[in-house]
Amino acid sequence: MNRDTVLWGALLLPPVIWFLSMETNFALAPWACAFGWKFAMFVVSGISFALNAGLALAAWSQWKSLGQNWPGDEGGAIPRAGIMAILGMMIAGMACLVTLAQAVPEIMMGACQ
Amino acid sequence: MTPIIEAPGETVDPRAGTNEEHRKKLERAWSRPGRIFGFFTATTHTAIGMRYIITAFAFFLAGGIEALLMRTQLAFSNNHFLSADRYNQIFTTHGTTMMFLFAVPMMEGMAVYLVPLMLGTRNVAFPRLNAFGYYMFLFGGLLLYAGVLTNTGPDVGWFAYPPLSGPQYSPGKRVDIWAQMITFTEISALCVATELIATILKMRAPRMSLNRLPLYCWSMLIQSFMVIFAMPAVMVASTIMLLLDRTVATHFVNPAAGGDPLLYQHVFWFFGHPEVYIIFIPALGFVSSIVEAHTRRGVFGYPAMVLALAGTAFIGFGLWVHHMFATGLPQIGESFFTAASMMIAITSGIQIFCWLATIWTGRVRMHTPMYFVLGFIFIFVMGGLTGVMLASVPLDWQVHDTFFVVAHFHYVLIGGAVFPLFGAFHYWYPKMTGRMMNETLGKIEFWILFIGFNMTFFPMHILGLKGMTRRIYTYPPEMGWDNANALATVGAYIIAIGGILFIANVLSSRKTGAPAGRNPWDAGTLEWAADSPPPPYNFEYLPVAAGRYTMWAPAEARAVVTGMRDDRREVLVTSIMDAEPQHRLVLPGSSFWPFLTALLVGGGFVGTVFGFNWYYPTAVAAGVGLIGWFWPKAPRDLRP
Repeated sequence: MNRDTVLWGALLLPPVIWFLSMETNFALAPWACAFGWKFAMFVVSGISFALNAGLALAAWSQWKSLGQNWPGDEGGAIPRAGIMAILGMMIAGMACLVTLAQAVPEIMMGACQ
Repeated sequence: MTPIIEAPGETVDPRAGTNEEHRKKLERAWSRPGRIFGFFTATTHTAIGMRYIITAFAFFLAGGIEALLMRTQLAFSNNHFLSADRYNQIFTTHGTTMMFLFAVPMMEGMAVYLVPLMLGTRNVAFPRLNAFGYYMFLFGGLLLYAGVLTNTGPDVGWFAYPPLSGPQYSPGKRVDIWAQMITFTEISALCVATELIATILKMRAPRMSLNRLPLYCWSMLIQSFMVIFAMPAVMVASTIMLLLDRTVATHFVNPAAGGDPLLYQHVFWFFGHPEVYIIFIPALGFVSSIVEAHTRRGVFGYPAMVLALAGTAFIGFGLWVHHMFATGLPQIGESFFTAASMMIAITSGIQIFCWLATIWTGRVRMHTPMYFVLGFIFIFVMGGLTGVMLASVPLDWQVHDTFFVVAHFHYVLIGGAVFPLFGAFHYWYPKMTGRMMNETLGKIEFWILFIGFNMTFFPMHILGLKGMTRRIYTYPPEMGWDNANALATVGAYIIAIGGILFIANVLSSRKTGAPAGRNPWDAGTLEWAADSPPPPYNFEYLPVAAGRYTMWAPAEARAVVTGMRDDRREVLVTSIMDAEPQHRLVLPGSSFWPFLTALLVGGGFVGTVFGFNWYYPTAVAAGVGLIGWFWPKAPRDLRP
């Protein structure tokens, strides 16, 4: 996979993954109450977290390969790729954080509350 | 002829003749025909952007007058200045106007005007679509106010929940007019979003790679994607589900016919919450631009700011259920939205801290736009804090549908969007008119608006906590709400005085303001490289980015593009990521067809309020309009 594909993936996929996991868990809420079983919610949140963490890692490895420089406003493909890698890391990290925050009620609350 | 990037000092393209001839040719190629007919053919972004701004401001004034009428009615108990029915129409029209006819179109108008200038290009990517979008917005607004003036104004709130808005409880045409007005304004918003995305990604100045994109352009790129994901939802809710339930008795959301009103709420708020960020994110771009120019340094933490904009946008799509906490949804499901609602404070906080760090480390010049920025920070932080409170389900239940919520969203929307917008008016007025606004009057305006705003909306927190519910047209004296309501009403009139001063400043400065020159604030972005006001072609030679802030780069580092034809509407298309020149594109010229198409489609849409069959002639009319629009012309101006 070339660098730009990884960078675009790390930028665009985390919000999509997080949104799908939130929607799925929201749809699972009545089902979890009916069957008294929250495990499916944990699985969905776990997959979302793992995928987003993986994307953050992929963006970080790209940044590492670019020299780990904090990009300024220099022209050219390398500084531009650097800022995309940093943004990818941060957006995927943010998606991980939101997924974790949303997993707290899954852990703390009863399925029928 | 290939475009060439030339070093400064070589800016006269020998193929273009003298500079004067070159300017005249550009003027001829980019001007629209004169007179009344010509007015309807304009497609340049500055003309259309300015029309958006003026029209949206006119609707803002209408919405403001409605607010004053409401505040007059609520000033004291047992008041009968307005009837209950008239009050219902006024609060619905106020909310609808401010959300659909002022806030979003105003932000779009500013972007249509500013983005091509900031990118260093001559127009938006789809100029005729741009004109079409404006006329659809105008006709939608006229439709709503035609209803208001004929006592057919909507009276079911700006969200029009069924079953209240269904055929049983709202007979007549009031809700139909509201629902079809949504169609007009959402088509307009989608037109602008499409053209801004294409313009930002494909028409940037050479060498303006993504890491050099101005933060305002980032904010409009992100906002435009939000529009594309969010706006279709409200069209599904209003134009498809609600309108069809009312006109052809479908069963989507009408409980009397087996429909599900909660489905409407889900779909509406899937649009409705992101709508807040669709309004707010462009304002963040204004603030960044103003702070940069007034501290004369780049915003601290550029990547963090872009992250915060993108994070706000994507988390903004995960909050809609917090408008429905009182509907009896599973509590564990509601808690996901509590978590997301609190997480969005992180992205807002990042931006506040980045601006504060920029101000702290820069050389601040306290002109009027900076006053509005500081006012924004104060008010928006207060609104954000009550937002975090409302994310909590127990507190939300306690204050749901009370004036506490009214206070919260006015702090967020006026503080978060209107204060930055007024700052932006003061900041870009010299670019748009060539004259400076009066500074003293500007600062007086700010203080009057700031004091009036807090006097109006702060007491509403207290009223909400004391149990005053929204959307009541009067209240008995024993409730103990008189004093706070009277204070809020006085505050509303003070805001009106601030607004009148602003208008006076705009009008008087147009004639008597000091000449601005190209870059009166010594700002760094490319719009300040154009003349003030910009000619229809924007730049004599297209600029080349020399960094994130080209205007702050040494003169010897600034280059321009030559080799472009000046006898036709030619722009440069560049690559998405690194803005490398790819090819020259000839944009279409002035045309009457966008106006005519909007007129035909709009007339048809108005007909559909009275009968579903109007959709058939509307489709034919749209087809006729589009055939005229795309009819190929003799390629006189495409000769090599």
